[in-house]
Amino acid sequence: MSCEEMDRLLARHAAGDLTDEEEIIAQVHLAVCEECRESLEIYASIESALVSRAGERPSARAASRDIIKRLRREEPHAFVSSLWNAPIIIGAVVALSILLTAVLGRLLDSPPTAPQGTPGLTALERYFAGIPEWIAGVFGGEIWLIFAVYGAVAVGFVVLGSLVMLRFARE
Amino acid sequence: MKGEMRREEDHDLELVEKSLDGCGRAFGKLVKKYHALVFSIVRGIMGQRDEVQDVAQEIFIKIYRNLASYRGEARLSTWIYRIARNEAINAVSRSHPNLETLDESSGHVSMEKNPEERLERKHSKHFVEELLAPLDEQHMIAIELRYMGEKSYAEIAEIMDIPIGTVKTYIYRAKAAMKKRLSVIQSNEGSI
Repeated sequence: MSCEEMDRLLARHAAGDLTDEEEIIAQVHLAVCEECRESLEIYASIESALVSRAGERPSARAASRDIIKRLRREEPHAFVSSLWNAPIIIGAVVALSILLTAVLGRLLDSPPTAPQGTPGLTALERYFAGIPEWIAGVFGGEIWLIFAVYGAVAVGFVVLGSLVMLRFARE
Repeated sequence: MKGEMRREEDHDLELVEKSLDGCGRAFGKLVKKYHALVFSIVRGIMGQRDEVQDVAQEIFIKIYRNLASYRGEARLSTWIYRIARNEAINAVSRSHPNLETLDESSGHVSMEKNPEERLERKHSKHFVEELLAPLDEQHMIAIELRYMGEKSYAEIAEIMDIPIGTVKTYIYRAKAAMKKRLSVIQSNEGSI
């Protein structure tokens, strides 16, 4: 192989990019060619200078934060405000309240049921229709206690949801 | 490998759709994922200038504003590559380049006045930039994507939409040109 043909191999050699077969060819040639040994040294120094440049790249995380910040400033409607997520939070509060009621009912072994003899209701409809009466029973008919418990649950979920939204909004 | 690429494309499309739906977090993820790509392209075209980061930011703003026109026909990386390349070229023509670089025909460093300055310059990080500066734009982008962007040959081929053999040739030619330039500079230094 001529020195000219070897040059391409040497550039890849410096980058650690040779196959086993190519490595043998290169070693055989380098053993007898001073000029190519010098070439390999130059390629090795170029390689090392190029590899070290990756460290000059600025942080992608910081760049992303700056770009999102700028977009929020320049285009206020670009991204959906976290307030738009309020229906999700309200939905979650309602769903979890129903779940809590069901779990409590199961634990107390007295699931909510509509008064017997209510005609034309499915089992599920009977369950939901019985919730108000059941709650009144569980809390001893104290309406303020019912509001306090469900209010505390709702406030808890809203606060938790807002914290989650704020965490995402910062990213 | 192909399955992985397919998943990657699907994930990109999902991020694009979420960004278009107003999800800032999804666009933030796209920026993080493609920042190295955009930065490498801008560096490849503009060299080491102060405005590189500003231009990279402008490119992402443009990408956001044009996101609705991305139809998924090309890979997202290729689409971003085209926008970044055009924008960086425009930025260069706007800024009236006035950089002093190596004189390719003679190999002399035009800014250097004496051997001490040459030695100091050789050990500065700008020296690599000077060796790279006179390279052809495509070679520069390939080299920057490989080293600054830490991309594989296959990834560069996809991004630039060229065969993998061409990528290898670009990178070899760039290094060969750097070697030639370095040898000329070294022999000039030796003759003083």
